[in-house]
Amino acid sequence: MKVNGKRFSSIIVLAVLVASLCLAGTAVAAEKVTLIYWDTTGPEATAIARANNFAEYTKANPNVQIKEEIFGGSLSEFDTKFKMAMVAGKGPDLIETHDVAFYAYYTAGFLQNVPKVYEDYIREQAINEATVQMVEADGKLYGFPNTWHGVVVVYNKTMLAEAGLSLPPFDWDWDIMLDYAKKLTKYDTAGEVSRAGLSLRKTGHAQGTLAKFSPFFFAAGVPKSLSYWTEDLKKTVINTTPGRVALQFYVDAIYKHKVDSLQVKSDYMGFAQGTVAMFHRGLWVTAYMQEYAPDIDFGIIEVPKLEFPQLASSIVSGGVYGVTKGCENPEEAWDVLYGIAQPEPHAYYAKESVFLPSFKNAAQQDFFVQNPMWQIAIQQKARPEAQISTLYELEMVIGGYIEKACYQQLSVEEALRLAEEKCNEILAEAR
Amino acid sequence: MSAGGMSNKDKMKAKTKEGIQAYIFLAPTLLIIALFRYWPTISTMIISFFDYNLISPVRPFVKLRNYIVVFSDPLFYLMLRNTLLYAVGMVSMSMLVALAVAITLDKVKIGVNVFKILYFIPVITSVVAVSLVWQYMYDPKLGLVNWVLNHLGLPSQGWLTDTRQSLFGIILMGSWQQIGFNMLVFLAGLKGISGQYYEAARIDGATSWQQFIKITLPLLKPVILFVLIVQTSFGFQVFTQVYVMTQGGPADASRVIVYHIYQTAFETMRLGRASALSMILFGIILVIALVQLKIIGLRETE
Repeated sequence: MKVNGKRFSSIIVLAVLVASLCLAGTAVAAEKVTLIYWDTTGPEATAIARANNFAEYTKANPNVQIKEEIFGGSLSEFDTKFKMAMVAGKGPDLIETHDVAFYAYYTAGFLQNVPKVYEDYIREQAINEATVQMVEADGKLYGFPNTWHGVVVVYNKTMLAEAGLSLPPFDWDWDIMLDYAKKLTKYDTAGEVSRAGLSLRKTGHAQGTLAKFSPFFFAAGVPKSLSYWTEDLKKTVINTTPGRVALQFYVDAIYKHKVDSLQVKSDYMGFAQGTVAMFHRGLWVTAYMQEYAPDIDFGIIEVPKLEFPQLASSIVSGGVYGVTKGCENPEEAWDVLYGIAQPEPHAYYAKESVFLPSFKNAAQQDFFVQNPMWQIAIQQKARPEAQISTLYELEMVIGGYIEKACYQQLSVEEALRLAEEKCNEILAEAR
Repeated sequence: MSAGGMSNKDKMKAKTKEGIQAYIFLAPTLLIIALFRYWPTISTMIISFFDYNLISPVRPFVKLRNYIVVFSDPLFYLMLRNTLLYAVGMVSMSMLVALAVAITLDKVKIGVNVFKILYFIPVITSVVAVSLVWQYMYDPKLGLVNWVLNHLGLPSQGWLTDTRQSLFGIILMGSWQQIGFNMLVFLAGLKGISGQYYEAARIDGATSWQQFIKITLPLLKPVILFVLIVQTSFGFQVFTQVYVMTQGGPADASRVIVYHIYQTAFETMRLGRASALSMILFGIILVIALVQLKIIGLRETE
């Protein structure tokens, strides 16, 4: 009996030990949080920087796992995918996209508000007012700023040298830019442009067309509202002098000065193929160029201004992170965003992606301080997107009419008049 | 009671039982069709009377406002024109070529199956993949199409970058992809025509052309009608090619109705307006199908 009792006790102790180990394992497993993160593809350098930042965070916080789901296609396709997923209840925990779309997500109830402790950090460290304005509504913040996207002119240094041109001066204006474009343009035997001296974004997804039009619109004159819309967001100001001047510049580049063409492969793809000497695009494209066209010796410069040099004509949109309403672990999610917004990871991401930092402490990193080009860009006054829930649709309308004017389906005046009419209709309907 | 068999009452019972059994067997299929075919159509019709925004909880009943907005938008008529042009262009091109190929293959003795496979491969290839390849083929500087034109002494064309050519480029690609399907159907129809008609016609001195007009075409009419209705329906619903190759551009030159429905529903989230446009398209296709049936007819040909 004594022997049996001993064996029985051993079994009990063993069972208790095994049970407690299992419970401990379960407890550890229960604490581990997986966050789903959605974003669009971009240059490899951006993807690597983001992945490294997440990896550093999860190394320091092993209970958190971040699962990146990155989608190809355009920003508008990503926008559609995200909205459909949220409506179906299958959205991610974290998302990053551009500020044009974010206010619509906020009004649709897709996003959680930033907790007070992180809100204080954002307000304190924001590099400019616009950084806060772009994620603020009703006195609260609904997104965590990422980086600002600047638009620059990219030029082929080899082509400039062949044409006997020096590098464009920092304070160049539209006339100087046009002069450069004329000297860089090549023509075929039929007199048609075979290499565009300056490729402007005239076609493609309409919302993107308007984003690249912004530097020219604001360089041509600044509306009181500092925006495409009136201060009360009830009407558009596209059909005003800056709009007409900027769009006429686009049209004249094609038909009057013949430095651009609708037939020649344009934008960064044309630049990589050698059919474009200069083009304008987001700063991020330089990372693409380094990856896909490493043999091209290129430089970047601000889009030239006409007036009001203190207003950024080049900073056109911001990237924003959000935590969705469906996220079941918002504390961990916000902490991830706070972690990667610290000076080192934020500066690293901005530098690798060729975006502009949104936080003062990151902008004070040596790389930015010592580089005059970055300093000029960072010090410009950014302009946040207007908080209109139908902003995407509005920008598509204007971009579409810009395209029609460039194809001479409409005159500049008619295109802007129709764009104004349509936009005002949409604004009147917006709730 | 009939002598030596089931009574009438029993026969009725047996028939009713058979009928019920038939419906039970048909029920799953009918349910699936109702769920995935008819219910979405009915839902679309209902939604078309609301200001239905996918991401807004407020969706007021607006009666016919969506339809009025669609019909008063000049862009609708441009899209309608583009869609009609695509349907007519694609259907006529693919049918004419397919008929010629089918008639030729009908006379070929060796290697028919190889040709059938070769012509059918585009039909079963993903439209996205085909569209991407053709997009590169149409590249003004590096594309195969301009390379061929240049080697024939012809100048390069803008193709998808030219407002006058972008729609034609899509029609060409769409026709190319549908030839195989049409060819197979025509070939099957040709095999069903008895050789005796042709023999009799030859004895009477009819030429090949006369045989084609007087024998082949009339006897092939039901098949032609089937292909015409099916392809017209496909033509009016063109979407993928436009989405991949041109996004409706340049400057709306290739914007078609279904592409606009997609943008309206999923980019601007205006599901009510998109539903109204869908119902209008449904009506157009229905009317055209009925007109085709009426004009070409279903009379049996002697």
